[in-house]
Amino acid sequence: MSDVDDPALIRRWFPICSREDLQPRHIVETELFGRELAVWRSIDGGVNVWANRCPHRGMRLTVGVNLGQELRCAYHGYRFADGSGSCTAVPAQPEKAAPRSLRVRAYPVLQAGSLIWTRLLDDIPATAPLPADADDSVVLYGVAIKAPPGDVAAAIAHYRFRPSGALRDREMDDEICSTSSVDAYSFQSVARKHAMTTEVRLFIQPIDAECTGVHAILLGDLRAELRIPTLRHHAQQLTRLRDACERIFRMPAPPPAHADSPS
Amino acid sequence: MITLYDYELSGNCYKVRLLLALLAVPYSRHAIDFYPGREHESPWFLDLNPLGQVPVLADGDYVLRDSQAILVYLASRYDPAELWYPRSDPALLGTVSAWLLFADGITNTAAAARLHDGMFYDLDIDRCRAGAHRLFRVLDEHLWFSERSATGWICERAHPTLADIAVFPYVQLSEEGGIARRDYPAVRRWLDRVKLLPGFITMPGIFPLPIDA
Repeated sequence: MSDVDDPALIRRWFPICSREDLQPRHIVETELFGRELAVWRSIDGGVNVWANRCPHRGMRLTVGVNLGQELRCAYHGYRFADGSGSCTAVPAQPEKAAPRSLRVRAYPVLQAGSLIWTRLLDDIPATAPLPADADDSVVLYGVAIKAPPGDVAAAIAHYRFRPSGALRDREMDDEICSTSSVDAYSFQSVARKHAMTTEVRLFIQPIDAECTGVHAILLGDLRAELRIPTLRHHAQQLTRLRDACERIFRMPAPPPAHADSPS
Repeated sequence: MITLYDYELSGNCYKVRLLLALLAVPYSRHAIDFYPGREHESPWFLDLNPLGQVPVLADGDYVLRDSQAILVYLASRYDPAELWYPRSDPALLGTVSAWLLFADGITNTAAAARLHDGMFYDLDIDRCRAGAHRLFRVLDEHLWFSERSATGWICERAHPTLADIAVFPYVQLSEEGGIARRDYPAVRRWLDRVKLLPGFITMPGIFPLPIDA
């Protein structure tokens, strides 16, 4: 587990999955700064970001079952309520009232830009690092990169999103693309061709000290016939970036240069 | 009558049991004491399969080894509607075959890691795990696109195919070999879909997903 001391980081919203990842009866498994999370949507639409530990015996809740309005632990069948995370039932003691004070640790939830966001500390108001019109967006493929967040942030400028170039002749491509940082953990990549502008937003999820998630959305909408080719172009670019990051991260640091070393 | 030479904890035996259950084909099980008894290396079993591997299927006088081959035989013989193994579509047949070989890759990596951790096989564990992660990445991206351009199954088809049955077990059992699935969200959603198939059965280490429990 990595520890976060930076007061800005513990209050910052980070994306942990997309809205589309929260399928009915599914439980998403992820981490933020080494905190294991179980994320699920109830049949009433409520999104829960919980510590991935049953408060009874510490079992991972992602091994359990999303019952629709409750999540049931796989170990002893304790059930926990959508929203509060309070225990609602202990199967071994059906005659007793459920210990409501037994609760799953619930993290704050924000839904914005087709993504699900959370943060470690929820004491002062803050918004997700997103443009206001991001709710109208298309979820792109996301990856987990085996490299520290700082290394991924440094490499992300090499992400090249040129959707029209991918759809047509690459050699003749005159689409201009630039990727720049909005802040340390979010980036925008704008592609321009004639009057057409396409904008992708990329967000870093510090999973743990050695692994970094990258989530991406395309602002606006895509014409039906361009949808899959554009999604494929992005996935190709992002997986290339991932592979490049991992090659660099795995390379041993160069030895210090000495004046007397042969060159 | 079909006899399956079977080991309860083998994912490759389980995928045969799973298909037999989904097709509702009756069979009898001959349990092999794989661990710790090493019965698959006994002379009588090597007469049946000189490779010394489970499962082996006997359908009357016909004897067949290798789980992927057994799936192909069972679907061809007992699924006349070609729901699981569409033999009349050459491109689809090629794609299913590619994923059956992918399943062998999963056996050589994720299943090997599980043999190392659970049954003390002398294997290069780091290599097994790294190989499994590489395959899981390919599977995750493939399934993410399948959810968007097709039906969410491995092959672009309304009905799942042998590809899903062949790949499922050792992906679902990967944590027993120290291979986490945290970074493969599309794979995790697909595992849920397989578990929700009518007629789905479990094995030790693979829990059901009771939808109305």
